Order: sequence, then C-alpha cells, then structure tokens
Amino acid sequence: MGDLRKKWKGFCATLCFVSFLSGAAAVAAENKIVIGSIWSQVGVAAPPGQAGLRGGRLAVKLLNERGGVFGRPLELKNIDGQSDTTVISNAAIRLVDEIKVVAACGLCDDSLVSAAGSTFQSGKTPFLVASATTPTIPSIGDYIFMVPFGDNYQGRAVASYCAKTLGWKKVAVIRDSASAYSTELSKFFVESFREFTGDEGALAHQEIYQTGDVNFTAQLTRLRRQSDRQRIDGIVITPPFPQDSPIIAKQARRLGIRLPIMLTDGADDPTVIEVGGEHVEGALISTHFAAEYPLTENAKRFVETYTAEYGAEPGAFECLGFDSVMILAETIETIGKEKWDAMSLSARRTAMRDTIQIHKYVMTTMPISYPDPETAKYPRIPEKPVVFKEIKAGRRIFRAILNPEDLY
Amino acid sequence: MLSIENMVAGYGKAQVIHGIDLEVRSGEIVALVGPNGAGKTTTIRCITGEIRPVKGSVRYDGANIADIPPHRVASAGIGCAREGRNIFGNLTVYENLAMGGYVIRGHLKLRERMAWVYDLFPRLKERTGQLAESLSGGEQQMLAIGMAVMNEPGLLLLDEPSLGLAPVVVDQIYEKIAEICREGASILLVEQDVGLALDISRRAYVMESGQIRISGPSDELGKDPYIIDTYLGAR
Amino acid sequence: MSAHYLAQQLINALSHGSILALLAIGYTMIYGILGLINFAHGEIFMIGAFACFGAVEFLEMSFPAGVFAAIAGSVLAGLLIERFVYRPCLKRKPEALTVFIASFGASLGLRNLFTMLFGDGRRPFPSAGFLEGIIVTESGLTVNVKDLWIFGVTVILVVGVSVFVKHTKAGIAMRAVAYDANAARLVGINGATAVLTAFLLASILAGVSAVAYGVSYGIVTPSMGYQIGLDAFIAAVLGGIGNVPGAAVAGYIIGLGEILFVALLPPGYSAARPTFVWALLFLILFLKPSGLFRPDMKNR
Repeated sequence: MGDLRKKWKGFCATLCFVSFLSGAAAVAAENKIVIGSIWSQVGVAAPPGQAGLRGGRLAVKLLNERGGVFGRPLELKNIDGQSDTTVISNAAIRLVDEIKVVAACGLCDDSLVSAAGSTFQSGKTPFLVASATTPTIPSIGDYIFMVPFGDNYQGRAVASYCAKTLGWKKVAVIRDSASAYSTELSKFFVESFREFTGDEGALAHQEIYQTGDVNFTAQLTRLRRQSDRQRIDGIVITPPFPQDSPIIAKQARRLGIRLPIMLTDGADDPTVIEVGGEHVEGALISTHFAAEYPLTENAKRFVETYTAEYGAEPGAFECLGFDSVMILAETIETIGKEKWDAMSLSARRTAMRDTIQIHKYVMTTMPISYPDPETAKYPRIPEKPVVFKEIKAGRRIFRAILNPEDLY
Repeated sequence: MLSIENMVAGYGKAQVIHGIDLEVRSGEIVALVGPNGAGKTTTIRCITGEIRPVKGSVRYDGANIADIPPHRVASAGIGCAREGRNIFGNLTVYENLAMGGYVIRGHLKLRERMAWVYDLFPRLKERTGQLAESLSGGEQQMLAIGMAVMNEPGLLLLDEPSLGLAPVVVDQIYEKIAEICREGASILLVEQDVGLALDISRRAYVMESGQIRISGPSDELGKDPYIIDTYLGAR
Repeated sequence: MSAHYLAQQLINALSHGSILALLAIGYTMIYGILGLINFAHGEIFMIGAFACFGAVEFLEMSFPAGVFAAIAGSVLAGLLIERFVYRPCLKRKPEALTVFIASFGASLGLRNLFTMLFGDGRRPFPSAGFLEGIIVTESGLTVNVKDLWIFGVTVILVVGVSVFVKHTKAGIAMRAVAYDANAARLVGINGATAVLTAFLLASILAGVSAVAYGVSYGIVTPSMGYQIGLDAFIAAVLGGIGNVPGAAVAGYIIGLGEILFVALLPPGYSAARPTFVWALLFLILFLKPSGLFRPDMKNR
C-alpha cells in the first residue's frame, strides 16, 4: 500500500518533471521564493513538530513584514510528516522534485530524519534538521545540516553540569532502547561523566525500556535496590519523546525514590508537566533555549513577537523552527540578488549549501556557524550553548547555561 | 391441544415438508414415524419455532405459534427433548435441570418440579453434582427428558428417545414416557423404531417424503399390511 | 536475589495484574458465549478511560463520579459494538475470518476515531487524594494506597462475577448459551439477553480496569488499549476460555511474569518484555492446549 503510494507519487513527480523540461513553467514562481518544511502535526512527533512549525511561520511573517527576501515574498510550504516514515519519505520527494523548493527544513528524531535525508542529499537540496540532535545525522551527505547542537555536545554538557555544578559522583541512566537518540546520547553522557569524575565506575546503574512501555516499576525497583547498596546521586533519563519521562518520574516517586532527575532536550515540552504534575517537580532539563534568558537582541525580539503572536512564551522547538527558516533566508540574501537571479534551480541549491558551510549567521536567536568539515569530527553541526532548566511550581525555570568554551 | 394444518416448510429454498396435517389431543401419546429424511425432525423444529413454516398454521391451545421464537414457545408450555440430546455438557445435572425449568417463576415451584424429576429418574439424583458430559448415554437421555418435563409442559416433544441406547435402557425410558403421559402431558413422539412407537402410542402418523402417508389409531396401523411390510419386517 | 526485592516486585505486580485480570474476564466471557475474539475490548477499555477523563476534567465531576462515568462509557461502547457490529455480522452466519475482520476493524476504527477527535498524545488522567498515599513498611517495602484499592476492588469484582456466572440463574443460563445456544432457546432462554449480559459485565469490568490503569500510569491515550488488550487476551487463553476465575488468575500470572521478566534478567533484556508474554503463551499452550485451567463456557 505504502509502496504503491510511493510509486504513484514518483510517477506524478516524473510527469511534473517532464512538463517542466518542455519549458512551459520555466518562469513560474519567479515572483516568490519558496522554501519547504516537514513538521509532523500528528503522532508521537507532533509536540516538537507543531512547535517547530509555529516558530518557522513566525520567521516567515517577520521576514515578509520587512519586505521579504530581495523584496520578494518568502513562502514556507510545510508538509505534515504525521510521525510516519513513509509519509515523511514521500514529503521529501514532493519538496525536491515536485514543488522544487530551493531548500527545506524541519523534522525531529534521528529515525524520522533518516526517512527523508537521502532524498534531499541525492536531490542536491540543502536540508536543515530542525530538532534532531544525533550527531551522525549529517553524515548522510554534504547537503544535510543540523540547527541544534549534537548529542556528543549535549551529553558532555549534561555530564559537566551533573559532575561540576551539582557535584554528582555516581549516576543511574534510564534509556529507550528503541531510539538511537536515547542510546547515543546516554553513551556520550556516560563517556564524559566518567572523564569529569575520573571514575570508571561513575555509571552506577543502567535501566532500559522501550517506546510505548507504561510500567517501569520493575526497572525502578531494581534501581532502588542498587541505590540502597551504593551511592547514587541522581538519575539521567534520555527520552526521545516528551511522553515517557513524566510516567517514569511518577512511578519512581511512588516507589519512594527521591533521587534528583535530569532529563534531556526530548523532554522540554509542556506535556511533561501536564502528565507528571507534582512528581516532576525539581526535575532538571537540558535544552536549547530559555525564553526568560534570551542571549541576544534577536532572541529577545523573538520572544516578544512570539508571545504577542501566539499568547504564550516560546519553547526550545519553537526557537529551533524559527532559526531554521532564518538561516535559509539569510543564506539566500548572502548569495545576493544578482547572482541569485542568474542561477538555475540546481545552481541555487548548490550555492546555498556552499554558503551555509561558511557563513556566520546573525539573524538567528544566537550566533550560528558550522565548523570546517575537513577537520570537524562531526561536520555540519553548529556549536551552541546548552541551557538547563528546572521544573518549579509547574513551570520550566532557567537555571544555567553552558557555552562550548566551558566544555573543552 | 396441538393442531397443524396444511403446513409447508423447509430450509432456505429446499422444501422438505409439502403440506401436512397433524393433531395431538389432550392426554394422548401420538407417534410420528417414517424413514430417515422423511421430515419428522423438521416437523418438530416447526413446532418449537426453530423453523418458520412457509405456509399453513401451527396452533397450540388455539393460538398460532408458527411465528414466535423458540424461547417463547418453551415458556408457552411446550417441552422438547431432541435427537442428539440437547443437554448442556458443561453444566452439572442439577444445573441442567434448573435450566430445563428456566421459565418457572418461584424457587419453591422449581424445587418441587426437581423433586418430581428426581423421583421419576432416581439415577439423576445420584448424579446431581456431576457434569452432564460425563454421564452415560442412557443417563443423558434421562436428563434430556427430565429437563423437558421440568416446566410441566402441556405438550412434550420427544425426538428419537431410543437412539443409540441398549434395549434394556430403552425399555426403562419408555416406561417413564408412559408415566409422564399418565401425569397429564400430551406427547408427540418421533421414533424410528416403529414397533416400539406403535406399542406406546394411541394414534400414529406415518410420514414419507414430507407428506403423511397413513394415519390412524396405532393398534389398527400395527395390522396394516403396508406398515408390516415396510416397517415392522421381521416382527 | 533478596526476598525483600522479590516482595517489592510482587507488590509492583498488584495493579498491573489487576488491570489485566479485569480485562481478561471480558475476553473470556465474550469468547465463551459468542465464540469470537472481541478485539475491540481494548477500545471499550480505552473509551472508559476517556469517559472518566472527560467527566472529571471538563464536566468537573468528583473522582468517584468519574469512576461511574468510566463504567458508563465502557458499557455504552460495549453495547453499541454488540448491537451494530457483532449482531448484524453474526446474523449472516459468517465465516470465522469475516468475524475476525469485523472485530479487528471495530478495534482499529475506534482507535482511529479517537485519535482524530483527541489527537494521539498522552493526557493526564485524574486521580483522587485518597489514592495517592504511600505506605512504607518497617522492612522498607513501599506500598501505594492505590495498589491496595485496585487489588481490593478487583478481588471483589472477580469473586462477584465468578459467583454470578457459577451460581445465579442468569449466570448458569449464560454458560448454557455458550455451550449450545440452540438447546438453550428450546428451554426458554433468550440468547440475545445472555449475550447482552456478557457484554454488560465485560464492559463494566473494562471500565473499572481503565480507571485502575489511569490511576496507576497517570495517562489516557487512544492507543492505550492495544498492548494491554493483547496481554489480557493471552491471559484469557491461558486461563481456559470461559473460565472466569481462571482468566483472573492468569491475568495476575502474566502481570507478575512481565514484572519478574524485567526484574530477574539483566537490564538489557527489559525491552523484550512483550515478546516474553507471547513466548509464555506458546509454551503453556504447547504443554497444556486448553490453558492452565479447565475451560468452562466452551462451545461444543
């Protein structure tokens, strides 16, 4: 069924391509600049997807209010990925071959990005991953860039915060074995945590669950037994989607486990507080952005306009969506109107890739630039600060920020 | 008591009964005999309401019962012990009898009837807590009849009560059938063993290919050359 | 492996086992009487949870009123499914595969409908203060007050339903219909009433189970009935189809088995928990094809 649909889409795309070759529509859409996005509006990835799209739309609105790009309106064409790899894979084909966007952005979680990445790469169309943080994602190819930090970096920042700021010596980790994000991030964390504590046995205990589980009492009871036998200072959970961590926290507290809990960016969503209630009080979250602690003038303006537009403060995923669109717009402007107008579609796409690789972005909520791909261990990932929040009285409150230079 | 007039019936498009008339009067045993596939069991099913006749009427105590569903026929006072023994193997003997008396209102009445059945079949009383599927064939037949008479039916339908039983057991069962009739029930007895059926019944119908071939008082039919030739054979 | 650790895991299984036990009875009763696997039973459960959630969150009812809303929601769903899916379907005396598809379709359809209406995110399930207490014994075992409530209510309901099915006239009639529906009609039992009784009881238990799930895990989602429904169905098979106490005991065995599977093996095996349930089913059916206990309401 899905396969058939894919073939049908492919057929349609080919038809469109043929009609384009005939020159009939060669000058169409010249008036506006169309960029694409894939943000899931339903399914497990809907909370970050909806947030990302809100951020992206706000960026488009602000850009068009000041006259668009080169005086031309910017249009964001979003396709709902439905948290489904087949739908996402089709969406990528449509954006590249049918809608013919110059570049695109969106998506969260490594498993979803891998459904679209190779299509953008083989279509030589730049794609900015809005909120997946697995650092191996850009290894798909040189047209794939990440907007957030990578988990090698997030893991290190969390380890630094736990070991140096909180003074933890021993930790327990809970991860989701069905998610590459969860597995990889916890690995990066443990590696750095051992380094910072200088203790090979700093990981006192590890528990595993699988996406969809609701009963964690067996794992947590074992964790509790371990904490009776030896010192454990805190629990680090790396949940790929916001839904699991509040249930884990709830069951831990009900089993009398009072250890502090550290969550990672997959949990920076209001759902965690709605479901977790009093049980997630005091939990820490590592994330990308805190509305009450804007780092730049741009960020301050983003928070103000977002709050005016949507009536609520933006979270990390809104911020990443906003920055994704801003990077694409700034890239086009950097290339320059005259060069841009003289280029074919494929030349524009390639020029955008080359520009992203070297440009230092200033229109975003924080300065973003990419390391030299020749020397970087993980290319096409920006180095960005990691923000720490604490859940207090049902709100996520800014606690600290760790800059790249603090870590290495 | 029961009168069937010009009844036509069948399964789907296959017509099995082509217009029969049959009557059971109060207090008599009527036998319905004939070869396999003649339509005897289908006739019983029309009376119990399992099959709706295509044409004709089935009257019980003056009311047409051809169109009412089986569970209402049962509560109208027609009991039925069917070929294949419609007992509930997963229930105990006691529970089976209680289900036989499902339509009885009042606990006292139920116990009274159960005592009567246990009197009639003392063997069942011995087995009261046993699962029905663990009973012997004869005991299962006793249970089936016992269930059918729980509700003190005005009319009792018995379909092949002798089937698959040893002759000694058959004699016992037939004794009980006669006793039930003496207690006041009218009985329509379907039986392959024509000799046995003619012995116990007052009147009889001989059914062949969905029609009544001959009918009349049983003792007269027992002397009919056609009956002797076709059904009584060696006797 | 200390006794203390095992005792705590046993306590952990109280709620989960109760949720499975209550659901398993529903599968076993409906399979017993209609001979069909009611795959939509997990959705009857889910609808009960949504009814409680809606009553407490939007209509601002008290939590105990929400429990009755859950039961009412499940019963309504159960009776509607019986009336508009199974009754018309079974009337045509269909092939087993047709019934299977109807049942599966009802399940999928309801899950999709609720996903369309409410989205598939997890919503917080309401709770009440009297359920939230934690008791710590002298030896350090942690017992949640809600576990005791859930276990207590479940035991009462299981005993109640078992007594009903075993000893009341309506219950015996239900088993009679399960064995031979036609013979039951001949003694005056209305088969449709017996089927409705089975759906009614199954749905009441599903509603209570949904509240137990919500209170234990704190969430309600349109897909919450899927995995737990499968586990409960397996419990029904293990318990001997039609055997009400058997299904309940098997529910606790599976609940405890799932917990012990995670608790006794190294952490790396935890993710294989769902596979374990199926493996257990195969193993037991291989050794004892009719389940652990004697089938009761079996069809002839």
